[in-house]
Amino acid sequence: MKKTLGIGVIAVGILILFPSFYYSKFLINYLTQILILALFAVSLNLLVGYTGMISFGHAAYYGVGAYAVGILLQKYSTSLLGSLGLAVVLAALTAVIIGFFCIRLGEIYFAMLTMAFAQIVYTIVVKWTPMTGGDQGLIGGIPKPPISFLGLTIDIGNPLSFYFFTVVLVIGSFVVCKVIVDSPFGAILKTIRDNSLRTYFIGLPVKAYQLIIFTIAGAFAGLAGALMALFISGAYPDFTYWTKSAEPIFMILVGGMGSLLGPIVGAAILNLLTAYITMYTHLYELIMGTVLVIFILSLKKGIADHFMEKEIFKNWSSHFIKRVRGGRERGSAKID
Amino acid sequence: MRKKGLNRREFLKATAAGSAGLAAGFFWPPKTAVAQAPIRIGFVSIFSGRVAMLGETGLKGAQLAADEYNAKGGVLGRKIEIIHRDSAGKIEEAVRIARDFVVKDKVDFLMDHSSSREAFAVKEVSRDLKVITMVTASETTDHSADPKIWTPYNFRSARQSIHDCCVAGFYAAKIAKEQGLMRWYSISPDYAYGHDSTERFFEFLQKKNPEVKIVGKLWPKLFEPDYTPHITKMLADKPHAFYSALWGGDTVAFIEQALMYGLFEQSKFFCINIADYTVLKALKKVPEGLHTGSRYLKNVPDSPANRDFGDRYQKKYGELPTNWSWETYSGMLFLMEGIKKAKSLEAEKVIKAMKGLRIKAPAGSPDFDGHIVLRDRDHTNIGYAIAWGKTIAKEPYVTDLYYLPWKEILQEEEEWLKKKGWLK
Amino acid sequence: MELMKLLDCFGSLSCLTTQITSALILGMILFLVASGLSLIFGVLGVLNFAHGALYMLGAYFTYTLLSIHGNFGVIAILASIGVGVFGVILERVFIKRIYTSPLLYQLLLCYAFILILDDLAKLVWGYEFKSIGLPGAFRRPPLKIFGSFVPSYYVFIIIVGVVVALILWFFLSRTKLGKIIRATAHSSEMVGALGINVQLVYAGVFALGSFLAGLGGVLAGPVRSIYPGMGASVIIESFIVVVIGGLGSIGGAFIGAILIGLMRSFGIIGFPLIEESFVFILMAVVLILRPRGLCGKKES
Repeated sequence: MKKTLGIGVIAVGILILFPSFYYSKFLINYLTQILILALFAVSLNLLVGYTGMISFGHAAYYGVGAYAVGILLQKYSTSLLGSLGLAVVLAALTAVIIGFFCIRLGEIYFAMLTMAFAQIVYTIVVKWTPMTGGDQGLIGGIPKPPISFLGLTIDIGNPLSFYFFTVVLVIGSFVVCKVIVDSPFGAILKTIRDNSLRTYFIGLPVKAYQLIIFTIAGAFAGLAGALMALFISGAYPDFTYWTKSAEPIFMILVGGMGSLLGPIVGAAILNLLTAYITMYTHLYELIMGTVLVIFILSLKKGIADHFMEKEIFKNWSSHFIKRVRGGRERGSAKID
Repeated sequence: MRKKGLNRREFLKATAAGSAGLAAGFFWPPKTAVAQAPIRIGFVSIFSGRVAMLGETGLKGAQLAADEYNAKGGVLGRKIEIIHRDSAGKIEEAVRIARDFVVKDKVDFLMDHSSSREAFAVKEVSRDLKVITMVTASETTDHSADPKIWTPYNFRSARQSIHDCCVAGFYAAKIAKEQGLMRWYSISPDYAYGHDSTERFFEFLQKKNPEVKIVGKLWPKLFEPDYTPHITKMLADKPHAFYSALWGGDTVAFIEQALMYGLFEQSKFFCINIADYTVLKALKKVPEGLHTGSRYLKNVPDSPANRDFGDRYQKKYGELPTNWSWETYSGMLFLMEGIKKAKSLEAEKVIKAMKGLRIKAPAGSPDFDGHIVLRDRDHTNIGYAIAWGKTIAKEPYVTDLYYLPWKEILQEEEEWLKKKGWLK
Repeated sequence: MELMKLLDCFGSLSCLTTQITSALILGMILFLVASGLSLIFGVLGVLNFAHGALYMLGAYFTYTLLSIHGNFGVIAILASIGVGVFGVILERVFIKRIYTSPLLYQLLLCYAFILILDDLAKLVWGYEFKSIGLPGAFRRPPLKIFGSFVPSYYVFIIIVGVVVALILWFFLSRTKLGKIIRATAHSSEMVGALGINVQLVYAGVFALGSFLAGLGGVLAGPVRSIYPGMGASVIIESFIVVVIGGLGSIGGAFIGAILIGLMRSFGIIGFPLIEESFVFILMAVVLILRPRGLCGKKES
């Protein structure tokens, strides 16, 4: 834990100090966005990479976080930190409710049910026009009142301060996530990922662990959503649509699901690629698609995993396929 | 996995080198501007997927204007350059692109040709970064009329739904009276534009013809492929007429499906978006006798300027302009004339010059003498030609054109805004 | 909510006919796409997310072929076969390489194909939406069935859908080839041990699945708007059909597709406002009550 904390502090330090040496509005902008998306991806990887739970509906909590912070600041003029905190709590609450129903299923059905619930959240957001602005979303900008913290007044209205704010919150979240996965709790998550039946037979309440990590993942996704809403000064129904849930999945796949670094790398690379490709052509889909095909066929695992030579998912995924297709099992355990 | 051209180590090295190169090239500060640098316009729109036509035809309209100005030596002695990127309809992408245009590419102006959904988000970039943005596709009235979200940096050359619905409602009221169309339905896409357009149409229709009754409203989702249940519902309820704000491919699909059921024989169709060449050319055979508003037609306005614009566009691109083309073309005209009038590119000066700017344009309606105006109080386009009429199967596709004088349109708009509390 | 209207409809034969046929139209097209998806998943274990793109190709192939030759029936079969062939190429060149990869990577690869195919369609056919128009044989007044009007083309679609369902069922359960396919779904090792070329079976199944998706696109083409990315309009619902019906079950896909069709057509009468999310709610309900889908266990 000390090591993690140390790395976290150093990272924060580097990120906060370097603009004094090389200041580029564009770079600050870009980093802020990457950090937020990386947080979203990391939160999902707590489920996918560490616990073996594939969620296709993670955008629901991201969206709840975004809308909550937006509505609270726009309509109720609450304090910034208070709104942020409440947004995270609401996202976690949504995750616990949805998680409760989804946990009962396995694998692919779990994934589809999480997606179904996310679409329900989307529908509520789109239809509840008086509160959420309906399909237009929260337009008109989200105010960012100055924060009074420990006697200091911090105004995050300008891009640089917002960037610092984001750095602290996001790196802080990464540290917390790393502590979680390195702890005994995290070890149990990994055993659940590798073989949930045996874990159950050891006497551990598998479903309880799954629900807890689902909620934690939802909370961090909510934080990411809230930060994004503040960053672009708005919250839109797109934030909860299933295509948004696919984005962190791609980041995890490209970056690697074996670690927390993987999704961060994935977020950075995918965003860089997207920005670059759209600068030069309208055929973004063709180029991105081709890049992905080449990547998948040659690498077959995430980039970070490659460097770290992690093959953790090999065992886990062949179990997955067998369980879903039913049929004969030979030696490997079956769930449900 | 063995050889497949590139083995893993080589691939990774290539990736690492490539990424480093990409990142460096990406973040490298751009070259500093030189005196006779071009006037750069950042054009953000959708160039892929279902509404690729929005971006493609919009860009063509803007580029035509830019080329015409450049042929005459540019504006203030500088050439106009348009850089364009695809947001693919994703709101965060549109915001990112707009931001990058200003912060990285250092454009002088933004042309926001996004759909109404993204336009609200891009507006925040405009407000935040204090950059003049010409909105050329969003037709949602709120965009310029809602004081809570208005910003002086936004200008709109696109048409406004309230103007369209006013003309539509009055036209429909007239026809309803003539033909006894008392029971009405509607079928419009289930999102803000569809709802607003429909509600306002009915408001104006019933204002002019209080005997009209609305007996049903249908809201298929945007880009719905199959309208069968909606069509059969209308067949069962037998309304005399129905209104639709469906647009683009949706209109085409709906008309083809409705024709199979003979729906138009039973109920008169009033559709705001048929008269655009994109729809007219896509229909195998344009059904006759449908009532439609004009989007872009060479004969609306029926002026030499407009017909000439259509010809020039067709000569350059091999196809006829669309609604989006004239909106971006007008947007460029407003912007360039504004810069000329301000004799500067400075935002505050250009804003002042564009407020109330009145220019001659192909879209200018007859009662504005071929001009369009950027209204002072809210920076939105007025004076563009709007007409309703009946479809026929061949050129010019719409006859019996009905115009409503702009004086009346503006009066109705003012009344409506006051009722909404958006105008004092 | 307009529940009274809904009840009225149940009482009227012509209304019932109208709504049921309307349900079947959507259902049949969905079934064609979903059955291919279910088959491919059941036998190959691949969730072919790019299935919607194959549907799109079916429509575009029809569009192109119709400009060369006028007979819709012939074109329909040719275009579907074309998509089937394309599917095999896709499978043999790319997809077979990821059979052993984690599910998520398969999904990513299929998603990448959607991106590529959508943009290729834009390059080859242009970004404007296209329209095929009804085949000449069906340009006649709608048929009158039980007091309600049904366009003849829609009757044709329904018949084709039912016939295909029957042929599939017969093929898979009664013929030797069908048995081989079902056996491969159970255990490809066993089948390989019996001396049967498993790779050929895989290719064949993928061809069949693609053919079905292409056929869906061919039939839908004349009555829908054709544009790059139109696969998106069917893929999610096809997935839901497959999940509701039970992964790998063709019969389940048939039932699921009809259910969704019924829900839409009756849903619009009774609940005109809430219909888009209904399919997801239906899926949620089915999964909570029957976690394996309606007919799910193993394949057909």
